[in-house]
Amino acid sequence: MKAVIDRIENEIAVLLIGEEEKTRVNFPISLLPEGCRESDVLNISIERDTTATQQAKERTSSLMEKLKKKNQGKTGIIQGP
Amino acid sequence: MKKSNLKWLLKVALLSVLTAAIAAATVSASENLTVHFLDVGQGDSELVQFNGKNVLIDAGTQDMGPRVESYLKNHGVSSLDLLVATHPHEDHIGGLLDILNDFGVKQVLDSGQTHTSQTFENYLNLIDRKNIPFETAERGQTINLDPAIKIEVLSPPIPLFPDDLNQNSIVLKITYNKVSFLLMGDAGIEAEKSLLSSGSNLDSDILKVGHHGSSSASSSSFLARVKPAISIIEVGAGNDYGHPTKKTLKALQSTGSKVYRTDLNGNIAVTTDGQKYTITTEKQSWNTASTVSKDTSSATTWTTGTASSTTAAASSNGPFVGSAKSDKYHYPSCSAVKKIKSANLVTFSSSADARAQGYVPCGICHPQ
Repeated sequence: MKAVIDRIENEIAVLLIGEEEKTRVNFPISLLPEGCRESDVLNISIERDTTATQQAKERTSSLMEKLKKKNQGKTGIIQGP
Repeated sequence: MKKSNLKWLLKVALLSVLTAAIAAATVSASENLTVHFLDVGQGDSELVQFNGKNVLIDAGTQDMGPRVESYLKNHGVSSLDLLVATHPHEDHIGGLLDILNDFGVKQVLDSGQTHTSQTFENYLNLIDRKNIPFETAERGQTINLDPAIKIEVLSPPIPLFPDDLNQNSIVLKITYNKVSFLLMGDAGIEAEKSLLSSGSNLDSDILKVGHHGSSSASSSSFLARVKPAISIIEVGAGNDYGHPTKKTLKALQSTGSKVYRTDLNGNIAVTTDGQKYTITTEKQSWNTASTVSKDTSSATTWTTGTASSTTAAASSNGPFVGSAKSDKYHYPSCSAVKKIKSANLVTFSSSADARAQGYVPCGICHPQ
């Protein structure tokens, strides 16, 4: 994906992207490659990381299960349906 | 013909000549120059109207095109005598694409700087396709819109400042008799220094503050030379860039300038007959709305020169005070005020004044 650094305001690079540049993205200059400046055209590539997504899902599901088991029998102020 | 008849005829003739002369004088005296500062969110757009002529300077971001178009239509504009693109940033030229597509444009004045955005390329292509005469700006040019008003190009200088689109913004000074406007685009301190040493007369009644009130513009040495009675900041509410900065607001305040902002006042129009000027704003800043009568717009008139203002500002429920070290303003009786060191104490004539300088109401005394 192409983007252009239209301008730099404070520490924020204002990127114009998408069809006819109708989208404006404020991007911290500190997260851009060193030496980026106004008028630079950027190539932005974004990939889906399915492995990392799956791993995160597994981590949170197992944490959920762990917590549910921990509380077994102790419903506190919550009454069953 | 009898002598008395002749006398009578002469009298009538003289009278009608006089009446015609008075009528002519009235017409020319009532010719008003209006400079509109359009609320285009975070961006700039100004419309200059005089004697049936129209000049548009910038038009905000691309999505503001329709808003600028309807503003132009509502103000009787069907074609533009001149379109000025102060510099190629999208918050200034984006909206010009719609304008170039939909309005007749007789000429374009450009900063002469190139940029790499598609928006800028589209702008150039449209001018090319429509065969619009294209001129690049240079200090020393004048724009001959009407013999009664003087429009000078004060910046950019040639050669341009290297690698800085803002600094090379087109800076215009518009003078109608005794009233003058200085429109800075996004020009910053470097451009200001160059202006200061250029020998141009910078003294102006109304200043369109450079670069949305950021700290990269409006140095105190520059403001001391311009001495604006009125400063107008074109800025978007809650923008991500910290515009305008408190530093700039304070610098403007210390020159004694009254500040208007498009984020607080909406569209702002300054109308002048060359002697006096009237400022009309679309809305009051929110904290003054309750203290003012039901009018939806406010108008304030000043005369130039001496302090003989003809109408007082619409809101004046002060005084309020604040600290230079915080962003709260208070009633003078507020308990928090006792903790403010006298060196840091700031006074505001009204809540609108406090608000315009970036202050918010104190949570203890809740000033109106």
